[in-house]
Amino acid sequence: MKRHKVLIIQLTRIGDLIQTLQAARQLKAENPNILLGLVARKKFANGIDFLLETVFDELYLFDTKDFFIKKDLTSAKNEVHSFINIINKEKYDLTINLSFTKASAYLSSTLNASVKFGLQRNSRNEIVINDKWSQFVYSNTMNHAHTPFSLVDIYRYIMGVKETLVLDPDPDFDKRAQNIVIHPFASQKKKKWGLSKWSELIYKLAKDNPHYHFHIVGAPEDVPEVKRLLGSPALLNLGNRLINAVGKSSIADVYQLLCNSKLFIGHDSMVSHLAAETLTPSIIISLGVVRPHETSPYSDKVINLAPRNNCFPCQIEKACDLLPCHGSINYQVVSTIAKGLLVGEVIDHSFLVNNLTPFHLNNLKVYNSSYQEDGLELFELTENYASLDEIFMSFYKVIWQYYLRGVERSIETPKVSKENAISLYEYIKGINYLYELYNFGIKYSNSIISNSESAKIDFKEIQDSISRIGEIDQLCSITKKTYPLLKGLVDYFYVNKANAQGESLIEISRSNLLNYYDAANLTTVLYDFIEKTIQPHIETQNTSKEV
Amino acid sequence: MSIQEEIHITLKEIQKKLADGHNLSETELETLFLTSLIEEEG
Repeated sequence: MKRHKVLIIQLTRIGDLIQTLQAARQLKAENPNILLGLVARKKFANGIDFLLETVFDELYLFDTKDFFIKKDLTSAKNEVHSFINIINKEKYDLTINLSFTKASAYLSSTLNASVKFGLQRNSRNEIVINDKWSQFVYSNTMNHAHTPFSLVDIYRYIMGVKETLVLDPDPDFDKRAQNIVIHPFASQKKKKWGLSKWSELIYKLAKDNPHYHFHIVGAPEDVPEVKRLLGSPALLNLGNRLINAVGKSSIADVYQLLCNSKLFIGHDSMVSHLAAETLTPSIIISLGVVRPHETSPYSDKVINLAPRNNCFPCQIEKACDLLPCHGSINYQVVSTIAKGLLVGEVIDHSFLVNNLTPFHLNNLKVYNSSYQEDGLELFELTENYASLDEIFMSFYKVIWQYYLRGVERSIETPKVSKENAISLYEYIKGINYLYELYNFGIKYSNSIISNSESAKIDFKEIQDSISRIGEIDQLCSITKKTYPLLKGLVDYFYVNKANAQGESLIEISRSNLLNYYDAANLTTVLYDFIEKTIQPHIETQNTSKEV
Repeated sequence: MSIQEEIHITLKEIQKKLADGHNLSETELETLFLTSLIEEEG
């Protein structure tokens, strides 16, 4: 039987590579006979090669400096050509670019495969994305819209994996040593607590859990920070219970340590994803630009803490000196949850209410994670009213699962505050406007098709219809600025239309026609969701009026 | 000529080719892969 060959391109950082691995593992589990290759950067892949080799049959690793060994452009081009030839010799059937970077797009375009998913460039240097889930990533995930899916599941969907196939539980978990691994670092200042909060937390953890050892892990570049942390007077008396492994351990060493630990505490980072790989229960403190639903470690043993500040999550380019979201998560919340996890308590709403005060809980959201039919989901334990962002995320989850995977899911109607009900009501206007625009799109696409097929072609009318479609795009763009939570929908169909299949005007117009039909249908679904959600508030208002 | 200067000239040539309505060759796409890597890594 012919063995199908799939090549995955992942040129971004170690955390993304681990998440790619977690999706690829599921692809391999569902399709044991495929040959799976990976293209990655050496500097990111080498540290986790012991993991990559368990899933990928072939690894094609490079670093840019390798191409410049002879220090001139001509020989660098030859080196690149040789590298690509090595990959192409394998004759892959499918390439999947999960990187969404410019370099990866060009790489994808140079590889010979019958089918290509993800970002690529054509010979006119235009961006091309053939598959719908990659169009979703390009339009939503890359564009800061609130993605309702875990990134690992999105990778899985791109790969076409149907089932959620995860690691079996660790049967020897109870035999693990009494270790807690702490990684107090992150790639940006916005994503991590200040050192004083970490020293308070470690002090409290040590006091609450007297038989545990605390291992601080990190990269060589974290050494100056950990020196300042360990210099805190609160930690001086911990003696050999506090072990500094920062800059002293390889990733493989950290992996082994996590395999022998009962708990991990840290921010959204490569180490948190490694903790998920080792099935170590984890508390993740999400701050700054982190989008918990998207990047929470892929494990059902995660408690994710996120601030309730309106500005969270923020965007990378937005400067922030005050870091208000950092103050919303107290160290006492982390230490209380940690103590609960270590004694085997179930962390649920009752646990939080019984062990923490409103002062601690008012400004944050506590999520637990679990595997559902479609993948990993976060569920809020703190039972606040859903924010407007969260409401739309829940709608989009259902919409995209249906539209992109053909999977029908239902959700409970979100409970909304009166203020959010009013905001949702305002969004109805935006949705109605989009619906009208998409119907105009249908009209003008139909006009182009019927005109092009007629015996006497009216070129002026065709030109007018094309101009109108351009205007529709502009008006949709204005609509999404006025109603930012409609951005995901608008951007997806814009990208989808930009990648319309077809060589002739008629073929492209037929693709566009389907695009506008789908877009109009999804806006009606969104309308229905909003209407149902605000209905109780309308009924209450009517009852009040009657009284 | 430094590598940066070589890259600059190569990119100009590619841009001109595209502006003149020509398609890029496999070799030129490979070159753009290489130059993008350099750009991403600063």
